[in-house]
Formats: sequence, C-alpha cells, structure tokens
Amino acid sequence: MLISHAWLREWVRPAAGPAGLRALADALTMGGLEVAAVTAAGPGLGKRVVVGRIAAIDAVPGRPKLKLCAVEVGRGSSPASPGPLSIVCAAPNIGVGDKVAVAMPGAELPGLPGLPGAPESVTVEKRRIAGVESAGMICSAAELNLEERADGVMQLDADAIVGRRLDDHLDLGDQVLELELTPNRGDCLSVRGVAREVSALLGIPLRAPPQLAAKTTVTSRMKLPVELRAPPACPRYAGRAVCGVDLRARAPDWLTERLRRCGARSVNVAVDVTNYVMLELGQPLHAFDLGKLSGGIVVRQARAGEKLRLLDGSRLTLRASHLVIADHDKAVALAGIMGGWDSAVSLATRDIYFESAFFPAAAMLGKARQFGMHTDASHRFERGVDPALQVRALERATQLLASIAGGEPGPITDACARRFMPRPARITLQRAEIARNLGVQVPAARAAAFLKRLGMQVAPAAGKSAGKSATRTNAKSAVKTVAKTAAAWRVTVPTWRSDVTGAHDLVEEIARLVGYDNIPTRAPAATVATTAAQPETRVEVDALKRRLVERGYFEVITYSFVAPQTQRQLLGKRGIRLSNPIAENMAAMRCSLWPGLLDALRGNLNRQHERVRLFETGHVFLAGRGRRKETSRLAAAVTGPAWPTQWGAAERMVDFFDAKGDLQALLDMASGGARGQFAYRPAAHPALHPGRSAQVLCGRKVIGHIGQLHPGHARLVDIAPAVYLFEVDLPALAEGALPAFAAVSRYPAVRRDLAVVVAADVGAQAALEVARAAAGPLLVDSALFDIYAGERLEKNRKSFAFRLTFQSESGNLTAARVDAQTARIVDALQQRFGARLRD
Amino acid sequence: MTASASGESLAAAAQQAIAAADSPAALEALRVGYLGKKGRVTAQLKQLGALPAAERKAAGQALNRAKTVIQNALQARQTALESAAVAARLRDERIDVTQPGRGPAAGALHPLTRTLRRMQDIFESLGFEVATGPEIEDEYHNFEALNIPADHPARAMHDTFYIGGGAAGDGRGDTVLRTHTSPVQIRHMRAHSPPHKIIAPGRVYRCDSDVTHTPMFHQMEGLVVDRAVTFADLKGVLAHFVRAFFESDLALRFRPSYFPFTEPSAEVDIACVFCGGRGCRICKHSGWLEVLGSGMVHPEVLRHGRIDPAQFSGYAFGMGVERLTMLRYGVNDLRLFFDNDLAFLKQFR
Repeated sequence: MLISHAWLREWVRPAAGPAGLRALADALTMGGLEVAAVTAAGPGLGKRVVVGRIAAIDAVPGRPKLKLCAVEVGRGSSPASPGPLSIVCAAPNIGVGDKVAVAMPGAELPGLPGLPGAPESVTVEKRRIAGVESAGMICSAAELNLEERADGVMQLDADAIVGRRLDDHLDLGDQVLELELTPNRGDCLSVRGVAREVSALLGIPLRAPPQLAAKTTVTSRMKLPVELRAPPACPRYAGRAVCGVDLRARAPDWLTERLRRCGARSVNVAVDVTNYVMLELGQPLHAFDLGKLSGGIVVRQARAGEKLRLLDGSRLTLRASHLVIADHDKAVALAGIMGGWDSAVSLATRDIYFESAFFPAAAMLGKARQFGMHTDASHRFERGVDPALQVRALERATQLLASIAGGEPGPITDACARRFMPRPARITLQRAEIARNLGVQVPAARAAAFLKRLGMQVAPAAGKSAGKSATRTNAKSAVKTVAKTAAAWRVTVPTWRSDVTGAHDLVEEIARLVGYDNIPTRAPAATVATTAAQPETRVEVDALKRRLVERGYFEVITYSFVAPQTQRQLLGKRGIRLSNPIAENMAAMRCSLWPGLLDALRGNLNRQHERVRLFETGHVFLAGRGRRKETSRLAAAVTGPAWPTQWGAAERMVDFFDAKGDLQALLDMASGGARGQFAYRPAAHPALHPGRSAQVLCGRKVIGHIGQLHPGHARLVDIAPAVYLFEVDLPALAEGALPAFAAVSRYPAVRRDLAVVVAADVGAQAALEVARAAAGPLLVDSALFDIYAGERLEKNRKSFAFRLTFQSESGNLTAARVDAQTARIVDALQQRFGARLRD
Repeated sequence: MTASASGESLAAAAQQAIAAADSPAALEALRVGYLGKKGRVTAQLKQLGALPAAERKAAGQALNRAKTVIQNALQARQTALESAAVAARLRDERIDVTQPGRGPAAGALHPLTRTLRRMQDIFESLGFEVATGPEIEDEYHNFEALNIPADHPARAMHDTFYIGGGAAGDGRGDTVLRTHTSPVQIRHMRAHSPPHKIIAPGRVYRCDSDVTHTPMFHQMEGLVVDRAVTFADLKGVLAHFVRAFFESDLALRFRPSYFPFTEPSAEVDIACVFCGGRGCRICKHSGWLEVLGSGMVHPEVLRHGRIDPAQFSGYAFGMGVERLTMLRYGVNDLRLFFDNDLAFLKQFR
C-alpha cells in the first residue's frame, strides 16, 4: 500500500525532516509494517514550472489544431519579459481563464521514463512552431512524470496562485511510503490505520485532523429503506442520499494529488470522494446514482442465475452463494467487491446514494477470487474492516462531497443486525505466558502500557480474589495497580483489530512493541551427541552421489513435472496429472527421472557439449491401484566419448558397459542385505533398446533398469548420439555390509587361465556363477578376461576366457589339486551350458 | 729392454687402449687380451722362470704392478662406461612433465545440493535430525493443520498446484503439490512424541514462473518443540546458523511478520553480503537482505500435532535454499539452477 507522508502527518507527528522520515520508515519496518520503498511524490520540477493562467487564445494561421495562448505566469518568465508568455499548444481541453501547469523556457522536464535511449531530462526552450514563436509548454501530467498517460493538459484549481511553483502548489516535495502489509493487518490499510500504528510504535499521540470533526447538516428528507436479508454476511449497512449534487465540479488538486500518490486515478467527484475516504479511514464506500435505484436497498443472497453487469463492464451470472446489494427489482452491486454498471454515477448524476457497509471477513474470503477479481474493497473486507467505522466514514464522505459538489444530504440510515455484529474480543492473558514465549521478562507495567497504546483495555482477570475490595474504593487507580500485580489480565481488543483473538496474539503485540531486537539472543547449548550415531552400514545418498561425481558425472536438478506425451511414449505411463500446470509440457508428475535427464542432456548437446554425463536423485510419483506412491530414485544418462579429450588415449564412445561399470560402482557400496545379491537380467523396457537393456535385481526384486535409449525414442527426444541410461531405487541401496575379516593366507596363490566354448546366448554372469559355485572355497578370485566370437569358432558359439586364482589358507596347493578344481569347473560348465574346453 | 721397462710399457699401452674402449665388449676384449689366460701380462708372467734369478724378482714385481694398473684402469673405465650408459638412458627417457595428466575428470554436485549439505551439517552439529515427507500432499497437512483455512488470504499467496482426480491416499481434502516444507512439521509431530528437533529439506512447488520465480524450488524447514523453548532460543539458533553458513560475523535483524502457523512471527534479514550493509542494487539500497522466515509455533499447529501447548512450546523456521545459494556464490539468475548447463555446473567442482 502507498501512503503519503504528508497525509500521514495530519494524523501523527513524529520527528520531521529526512532523518525523521528514515526513522519512521525504520520503526514501521521493525514493527512489522515493512516499508519496501520511500519515493518522492514528484520528480522535482524546479522554479521554471509554475501555475499559469490562460489569458487569451488565438488561432495559428493555417493550422486549425494549434492554438496560440497568452499565458500569465505572475511576475513573468524573466525580469526582461514581464508580460504573459506566448505558447503554442495543441491540447483540446483548454479555455480562457484555465489554470494550467506551465514549463517556461529553461525548465528541466523529466524524460519519458521507460523509453530506451530517451534522455533523462529535457530542457524547454523557445522555439518556432508553425512559424510562430512559442515560449514554453503547457504540460500534461504525463509530461511532468506525474502520470503514465494523460488526456490533454493538466488542469489546476481555479484559485491556484498564478506564478507559484507547481512543486509548491501540489506539494510535490512529499514522500510516498510503499508498505508491504501482511494479510493479518487489514487495520493498516488506511492512513488512519498506519497513523494509529505509528502512534503505538513510537508512543506518540494520535490526533484526528480537525476537518473530520465537521458535522453535516441534514437538509434533505430523502432516504431509502434498507433491508438486511443476509445478516451473517452483512450485519450492517449504512446509507445516505445526497441530492442535487453537481458532479461536473472538479475535485481539488490536493485531493486528486493524494489519490494519485496512493495509486488511485481520479474518475469523478463522487468516486474520488469514496476512494479518498477509503484511503483515509479504511472503509470501502460506494456511490450509486439514486435515480437508478428502485424502491430501496435489499442486502440478500443472489438468485441462482441472476445477472449482474459490473462497473468494469464484466457480466456475471450469479449463484445463491453470492451476496448482492439489490434494489427492489434487481441486483445493483456485488457486495463488498464492485458496484453495478447500470446504477453507476455519471457526470449527469444529480442525486447519489452512498453505501457504507460492513461485511465480515469470513463471509468475504475467496469471493472476489471466484470471479478472478481483486478490488480495493474486496482486499480490505477480506482482511477485516473496522465494524464501528461505517457511519463515521459516511459522514466524512458527505462532508467532502458537499464541499466540492454541493448537494443536500439526507438522514443516515444505519441498518444493523446487532446479533451478527462481531463483539470485541476479550482475552485472558496469563502474564507468565509472556516470558514463557519470549524468553525475557517484560515488566507488567510496561507490557500493560504497550497493550494500551494499541487501543486495548487491560484489567485484572475476573475470578481471582485480587482487586475485589479495591474496586469499591477507587475503581480507576485500583485497576491500574491491580493490573500490574495480577497474574492474569483480561484484555479487551479494539474493534479494528479482528486479527487479535488469543493470548499468543497479545504476546506477539507485546513483542513487537518491545522490539524483536531487544529480545535476548540465547546461544544454542553445546549439544553432546543428543542423536544416536548412524549405523555404520547405512549408505548415505550423498556418498553414492560423490562416487558418481568422482566418475565424472554432474548432478542436475530437473522439474518434477514433465511432458505427459514424452512420458507416455518413453515409459508407457501416463503419470499423475496436475490440474493447473504452468504449461502442457510440465503437466505430469514424473514416473521416472529419465525424461528430465534426457531433457537436460539434450540441452547440453545443443550447447555443444559433446561428452555429457548427468545424474539426478529425487522423488518419482507412481499412480498405483487406488493409491499413489512416491519413492526416491537415482538415475543417470551418459553419451559421447568415454574419456574426456586427452592425449595418448584413443577416443572411444561410451557404451553399455561403461554405464554398467558406473552403476556397479554404486551397487558395490551397498549390499542387498537380506533380500539377496545384486544381479542383472536381460529384460525389455519401453524406453530401451530391446537387445541392450537389463533389469537390475536385488535378490528377486527388480530395483532398476539399465540400457541404451531405444533408437526410436532418440528421435522423439531429438538426440542423435547413443545414450545410455540407468535408474535404481534409492531405498534398495540404503544398506551396506559391515566388513567381515577373513584370514589372509600366507601361502602362494596359483593362477589358471581357462577358455571354454559355449553357445552364443549363454550369459557371462551365469557362467561365472556356475564356475564359482563348482569351485568351492579354494577359488579366491575369478575374472572374465576375454570374450571371443568369430571365424576361429563355429557359428553361434563364443568363448569365455576366465582367469582363476586358487589359494589355500592352510598350505601350498599342489598342481594336482588345482587341476582337479579346474576340471570340476569345466564339468559344471559342460553340464549346465554344454561348454567344452577351447583348443 | 729390461723386464721392468717392458712391464711399464705394457701398462702404458694397456691404459691407452682401455681409455679408448667405448663399450663393455671392447673393454672385455682388452681384459682378455692383457689379463686372460693367454693375455700378454699372463704370457710374460709365465716367462719369468726363464729369466736369470737376479732379474726375476724385479721383473715379477714390475709385471704385477702393471697387472694392478691394468686392473684398476679396467675397473675405472667400466664404471665410467656404466654411468655414461645410465646417463644416456635417463637422457633418452626424459618426458615433458608439463603434459596434462590422464584419466577421468571428476564431475560436480549441483550447487543446491552443496548448499543443502552445508545447511544440514550446521544444523546436525546443533543436534537437529533430518525428517522427510511426501511432495504430493493433502490440503490438511499443507494448509489446515498449519492454521491456513480455505479462502485464507495467505492461501491465495501460495499459488498452489492441484492434482486432479480426487483426494490423496488418506483422503484429507484435495491433493496438492506441497507449497512449503512445513507439512513435514505436522507429519513429524503426529508420528513422534516430543521433544522434537528436526530439519526437513526438500522440493516445494508454486504455480508461478518468471524471472525471480521457478515453479519448483527448495526449502529447509526447522522445528524445535520442547518444554521452555522461547523466542530467545529461536534467535540464538538462527543467528548461529546464518553466521556459520556465511562464515562471517554478519549483522542480522529480526523483523515482525506474519505466517499463519507461527506467532510471534519474524522475518530474518542479514546485512547485505554484497555491499556490507552500505546499500546496493541487490539489497535495493536498504543494506539488508531477507533470508528466512521464522516464529514461535502457533498453539493451533501444536494441537494439530497432538501436542499440548500448555506443556510445550516450540519454534519453527523455513529458508529458501536457492536464495542462500545465490547469496553465497553470487549467482545472479535463479533459473540457472534448473537449466542444468554444464558450463554452469562445472563452476561448482
């Protein structure tokens, strides 16, 4: 919210001057009303921009749109030329006698903001326009950088003093405070509300400006009956007719200037007055054209399907849950949000009807949003308007309107359903709560004084014996002293603080006034392992990540939502859909980390990175039968050269087994635990090349997949080079094995190389497992060191060459014993796979 | 010629030949030629017996001297040849040690992970434990239990993503992507008994995307509930964290604010890390940077967590991981974190 400093100072007078303003802004910020910015009300126009009076208008020969104006500027533009200035002007809205803003030669006007390359300021000079000398400019509000756009030149009050600086006339030296109010502080959405807060924060008096005390004399008998048919949603509706107004009258400059500073545009006198009072007091008002209302005011729920056209031109079809202001025929306003089109005031309106109603926040919440609307009125009602303010605001609006546009005010109708009006909250505050919450003792007198500054009444809580006798003798002073000594207080909250409902709210108010910076800072106690040490076997996700990093992978973080189309084609799954995605390509929750990784991979290929190795960890979201499942995974995608570019190493593209080696390095950190060993099993996956894909198993459970991206999909994701992918469930890798010591043999190991020929479809993993199982404990190491298929073997056959290492803990192994072991392995391979020894 | 003269000339000739020998083989040939069984020194020694007795002794001594001289010369030459050979080999084996080393270059953790790790380390050293929760949440945990009823203005500020197709697993209102990590507070309180001292890092989602907002970002939540926990403790822990994180004795201030789930609530500002609090473009000339929100847990929230507010009190805080990462490393564009450009990621190796 924007607040004029000068306007605020009508209500409260902290120290003045730039230092005072800084201190005020700081106090507000540190009091919870964050001042986001303080800006000057005007650009600083200087002494060459003044109030002028158009003394005469002549035509410019041959240029029908231009006018040559004689403009009086008081003592003149310079001692040398004391007379009026001749200024050529094209504006349609000027007439003889008008007071206007004049930039005399030498004036520095601000450049047009936001225009690239535009100069910061423009110097006004004498120049010839259409052959006529023009000594200055009659300015529009836009040219003075007071408005973003303007129709025609700026008109000033008829009694503005000719020759006076515009800076002075409009008080442009004023500053505007931009407040970022939290949604609980509806009471601060007005100059008066902020002033009240300043008064409480600084402990200085709040004073109502004298003009507010002015009473309106009722001179008309005109009134409308008001009927409250939905009192929970509208327990109070105050209204008043003002007859015979002249809305063609101009609102005075000081009023429209204040509106402008607070971000409101001037519309017409009636609307300007309602806006002004709302900004001043916080009560949203509405002005109807009385002539367009039929019978009287009815506040009621809308009829289902009822139509209403609003001031902004939008046409609504209402439901029964919507509250409307109606006359005896039809809805005329959307209650608390916006007035209707048909009953709006215009310049021709003679009689108006002011509405000043109270709609409780609970009834207003979310209502404007249902129509995609958000208005100054709805903003305030949703955050709580003071229920005791309606009549006062009505009086203020009447008085302002009458002073500008004349008219005869009728009597105020204040329809009020007291039963539905909020009652001031009475809160019991145990004084001990303050210290229990804040960690600091606030002296009782101080705490009570703070609450009183905020408009609260503090009394000892009833039910305790303290104070009973005292009240009889000298009620006032007794309450004072007892409040100090009582263990509990009864606090009555003022009508405007609907956000204060409980003891914790009062503690917060006290804390604010104490100042958060004055609450001590208690250093955290040194903690001696209050948490149990992690089991040694736990494999931290960070450790897995670090292993991949060491192997050249970069961690990425991609959005959890992906394109549903990609997901369906890549994974054969739809995924959980968002109802309101940012974009269609971010509409489905990911079922796998692969779509995001492929996206990131493609991005990097497009940025000319050739070797891309990426991984990500995070949740995936699975739509199961009736139940959604969210689980953590780790996945990687690699493409490009196997090694970074370097000398002395032949360049080779990464392949399946590079990726598998990286995955295996992760599995090696974990142990399958009770579930069994990790293993790989050839298996198809919709995303993967059918001949180059495997399931990753832990025992019999599938915990992941590895393979080459299906060449068909490579086109879908627009990636040309071969990409290898793997993904595993993180919980399956969460547990490692505790190292178990085995005696280290002192006897020499015996190594044997063994080559066997098997059918081409025999898996290496199975062959190794059979060999290991057949050998028994003397086989301490076994590795596959060569695989051959080709012309030296028959078709559909291949050979495996194993390097077997035997060692005994108890003695030297004889050749005969090792031969026997090797023979058993060959036998087993033969029985299982029909293997034979290679010649 | 006398025997001794003959011995000396023999030695001299041999020395000359040995000095000229340029290989171990040539040296060996000389050794054999002089000292071998049929060598010239050996041959002369054999002839000593033919000399008259008077000459024999002197001749023998001369020959033996010559033999020693030759042996020494051979030895010296051999050593010289060997060290020359070693020197030559070392010369040949010279490499350009400035050539780059070989092998796989390491990758890097994402900068946000780096920050999260650091945050976690600081809080773990203070005795906090990590808690987690689902990212697809129900409205109860994300809003209601945190004292944000339907239609509350604070809820509108959250720009919530909704999941279509009915309620979540436990059927508590609509299903949403969590808008903050605060629902983990509720889940943790309901699953465990107090005292609580947790942090909850993770992804959160808001339906908002522009230069300064991404629809997904990271928060770290903190919750402490115990008997006699106060605002002074909250200030202490957060001051410790901020100073440890930035490794600087930064000025900080606590400013009243509003969150429905805490009361009193406070925003924490730190002295701008870019200008030291003098005021710059990044801190909008205020000298302060907002880094986190915090407050005393609202009694209503404690009740939703099945905790008696009369017995226990607590504080909670939430901080933006992206914001802290940007401040720490000077990253100037939030969106870089999710572009995943290797040129960016490599800077955090």
